Amino acid sequence: MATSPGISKTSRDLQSATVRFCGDSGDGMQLAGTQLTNTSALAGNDVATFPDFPAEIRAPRGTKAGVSGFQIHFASCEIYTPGDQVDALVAMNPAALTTNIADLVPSGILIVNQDAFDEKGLRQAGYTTNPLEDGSLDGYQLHKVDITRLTRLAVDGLSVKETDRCRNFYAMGLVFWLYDRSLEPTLRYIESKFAKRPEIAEANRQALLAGYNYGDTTEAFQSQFRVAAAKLPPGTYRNVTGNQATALGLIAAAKLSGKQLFLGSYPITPASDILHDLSKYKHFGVRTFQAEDEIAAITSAIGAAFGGAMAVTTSSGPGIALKGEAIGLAVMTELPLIIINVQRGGPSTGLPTKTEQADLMQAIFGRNGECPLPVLAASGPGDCFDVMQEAWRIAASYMTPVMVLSDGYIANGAEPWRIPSTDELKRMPIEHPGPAENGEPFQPYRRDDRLARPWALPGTPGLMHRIGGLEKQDGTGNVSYDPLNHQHMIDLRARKIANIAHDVPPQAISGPASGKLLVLSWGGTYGACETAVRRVQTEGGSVSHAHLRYLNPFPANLGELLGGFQQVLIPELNLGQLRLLIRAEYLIDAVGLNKVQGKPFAVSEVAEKIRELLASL
Amino acid sequence: MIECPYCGTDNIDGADACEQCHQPLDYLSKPRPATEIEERLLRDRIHMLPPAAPLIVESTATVAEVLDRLVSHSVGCAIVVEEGRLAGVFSERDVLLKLGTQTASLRDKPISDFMTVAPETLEEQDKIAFALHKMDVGGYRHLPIMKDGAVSGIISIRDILRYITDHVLSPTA
Amino acid sequence: MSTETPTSLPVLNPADFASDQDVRWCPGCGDYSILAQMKKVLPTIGVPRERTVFISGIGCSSRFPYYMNTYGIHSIHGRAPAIATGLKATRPDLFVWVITGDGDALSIGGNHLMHAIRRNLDINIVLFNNRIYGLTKGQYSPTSPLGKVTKSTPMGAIDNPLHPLSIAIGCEATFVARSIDVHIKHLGMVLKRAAEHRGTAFVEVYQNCNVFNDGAFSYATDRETKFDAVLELEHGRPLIFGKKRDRGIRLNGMEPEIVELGKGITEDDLLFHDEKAVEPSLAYLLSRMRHPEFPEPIGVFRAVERPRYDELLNKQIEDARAKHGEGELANLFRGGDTWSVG
Repeated sequence: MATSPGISKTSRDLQSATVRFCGDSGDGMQLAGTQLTNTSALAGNDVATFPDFPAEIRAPRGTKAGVSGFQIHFASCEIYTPGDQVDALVAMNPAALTTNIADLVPSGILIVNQDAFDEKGLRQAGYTTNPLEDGSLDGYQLHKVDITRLTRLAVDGLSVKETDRCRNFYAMGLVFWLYDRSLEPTLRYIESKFAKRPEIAEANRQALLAGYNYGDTTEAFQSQFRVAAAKLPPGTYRNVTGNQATALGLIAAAKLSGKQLFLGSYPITPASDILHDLSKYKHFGVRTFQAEDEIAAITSAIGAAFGGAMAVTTSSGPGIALKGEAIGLAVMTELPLIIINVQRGGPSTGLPTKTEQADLMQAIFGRNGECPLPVLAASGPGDCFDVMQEAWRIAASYMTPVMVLSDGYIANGAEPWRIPSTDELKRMPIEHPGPAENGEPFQPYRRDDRLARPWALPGTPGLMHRIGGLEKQDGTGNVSYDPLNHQHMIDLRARKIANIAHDVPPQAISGPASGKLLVLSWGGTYGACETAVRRVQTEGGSVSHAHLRYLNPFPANLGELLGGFQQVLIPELNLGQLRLLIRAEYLIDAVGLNKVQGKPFAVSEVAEKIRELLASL
Repeated sequence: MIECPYCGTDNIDGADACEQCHQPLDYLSKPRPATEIEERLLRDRIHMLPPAAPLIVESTATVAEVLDRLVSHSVGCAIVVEEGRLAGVFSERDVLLKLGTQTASLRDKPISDFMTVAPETLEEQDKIAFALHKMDVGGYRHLPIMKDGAVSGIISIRDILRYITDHVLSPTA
Repeated sequence: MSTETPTSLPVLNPADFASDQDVRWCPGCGDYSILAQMKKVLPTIGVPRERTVFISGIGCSSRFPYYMNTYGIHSIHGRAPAIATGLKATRPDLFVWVITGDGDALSIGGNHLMHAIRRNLDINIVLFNNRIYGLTKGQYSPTSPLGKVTKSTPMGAIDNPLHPLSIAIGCEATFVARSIDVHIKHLGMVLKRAAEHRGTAFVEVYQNCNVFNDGAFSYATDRETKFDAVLELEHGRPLIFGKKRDRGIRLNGMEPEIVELGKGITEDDLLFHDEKAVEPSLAYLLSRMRHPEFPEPIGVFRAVERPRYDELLNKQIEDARAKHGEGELANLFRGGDTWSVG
């Protein structure tokens, strides 16, 4: 769409831009956001998104509890976070404005739907005066747009209610003009999704074009911004959220190892979508079981594992707490099992829709007795695909349950994911002992060189054996209370898990292998930490970044790696859980950056802390 | 299953957004009125009743004065203002419960001593259903009605009864 | 569990099912009898040992899997039905037994028991009811009578007890039966019928704990009292009991009443047992007949068929495969809009 003649508009190149749409949950902000995301991705930008769901379900229209938002960061370089601060905020009503304005950069672009700023809307948002008029928004480039009225003008043939539902397309059109985005993908989307309702499709088109033209023709908008394509590695891409990638990774792992996937799960925010997604793939042999409670979810998975399935259970913090005893049973019976914790704000019911990473200690220690459990953590949405496969490799090779930590930010955030070709995926054949030949009693706990026991499947003649939670004699598996045997088994189980450290890739580092400061992070903080470190590196700071995937055991070279730096900084969305582990394990005086607010780190928060520490070193 | 009003695809009940076109569907989960009474109560606003002109007294007025005026105006509730702002209400119930058998001896006291302070109020644009609900939950028979921050009227439970008999028991246009 | 006998199966005998573990129940425990009967019954079912799995929770009853030379899981308290659900759903070819007790199934495991039964998985649940917590040495259980004095209830239990069969029938179990540890022939018959039932078979066994609750069921086992205290159910036959088989149960309105045969009352006046009644009300009524007011029925209360969860789940997999074809990863990854770079 070219600028119309007569009004000269300037155009500026940006390396990146962060746009946030926010409004009532009925305003279609998620759709607006995903359209901008897809369009930007198709234009070749790297994108990262973060949807912000309403705190309460079905909150009354116009209230603060019902505000829903969607943030997109798109760039002509590689990016890792959805953006610290927002460059352009579209607020569809006063409640959305008041809950989101703090994140808009000074002099940022603020587009509001002026029609929603009536007395009732202002009152619901807690405004005593109209912010559009009282000067409080003078620090921003405020654009008061009559989105409701203009949409109604642009759209014909529908009732007022139906027309108002096209407002998100109007807002989209305006933002698309602002950032010089092509309307093509959205027009194609409208055509395909609304094919059954041509009058609605036409209305959406009209609203979209009207919004775009508004930007094009109105004097209020003087400049457009251009964000060029990024140089991403060649391939075919799609957008994927962490939960989606988790489901894909699990199905891939099952197929590549010749196993049928079984999921025992109980609905819990923010993990329920994994259950929903997997339940659509029955033609892959995926058996999903919505259990009666969290404990049945994991115990049914244990039963399935005993029978030879690739067994998985998903939950969040409170559910993992309930599963503790059963995880212990899986450890004792040495069965392969994947336990996924999509962490959320805690403790107890906490903040179900907000992100946090405070379940690390629970993952490593949260069971009675000496109960070692391998723990892995994903670093972003696309990484979930790889981590699930790695978790299964470890679970099946070492005959142990494995805990995978994700979080709400990863689960709901989206980023482009390069679709792997089939030859890039690694097959993982799994062996089960065959029928016994010579009639000797089977030893269910005999060990291979990994200290793993054989995965003998019921139905195999001659291999009958019993497993259970009581301490057992090594080899035979008979119940044993012998003191020395118990010591032996405790040591053996611990050693089996510790040995995994030698079977995982060495810890990688971004930056020099030695220097003044190392930022050590894990989980969903990858983006903020990597971006912050790179920023300070370009300023000349002596800082490197190591992001852990393996939290138990730590990679074998981690101690040596930590030793190459004068100081180690561990940013975490908890009060210092990894820091405690690192200090204990490696006897180094690591320092923490800790934030527990239900929000991810801002790049600037981490960068500032890095600079502060560097200054003192 | 609910049909998405945008694209016509069937969605599971209660879905936040349409599976197909991703337009929001959560507003469809609002409860729907089951009867005509419910529908009208949820639709019509208080200004339709209409609210009566309020009897306004100063907070310094004596009990005797207020009682006289309640009788002469034939109303059950007076609005008490202080410096022009709503301070309280004083109704027949207050006479019974707070004055009681001592009424005569309390006649010279200021009404502010016996009024219900900071009463619940509603706006003219609020739905009648809200008024009904407030009266039921709070046990009030009267509610001051506000407009632009000032008292513009008063409604009583009788107004609501009249509305129901007028509009529902004998259905009119 | 369907019992097609493979063509050339070695004839099994009880010794084949014996594991090499020393049995650790107290001398005189009723569990020995149940174990012996199970070992006798299994060879007659025709399912090979390698396809048999015993899953238990925690309790004296739950030591059972160790003494059977089949596959087995001795799991955690109360969770055996859930483990069995995961196993049977993914391995419908296996013959799955859940061995549980009154505490394991009705206290901590109540929830899982309820859901396993309502899902009607093709498994067999045997509940050893000794009306006490034996393993932990003598606390009262959800089936202990009101007023029972135990270590944790020195002034007597104040909770109203649950009755396993009433619970199971309330959850619409498709097979419900009761037997007694020392009625060995009867127990064997009941276990065999449970094994043959397609769907969840729930069996309550009155089991005597001679250490912590000796004599709890003596009314049903002592020679002097048992004929008047126990009524053997037979499908299609009238409800008759008594040493001389001269007493019967008749329905008076909705209530059972005990009547004397002869004196104008014949067998035709009595309540006839119908295992296949579609509504569980009859079975429930029978489960409410309690000592001492009524003789307690033993035998099969109910045996009906209803769709089975494991069957339906695997059918959905088949149907999905038929509709979409076997899943391919390449198609899976491409769900949603894709774009190409470079």
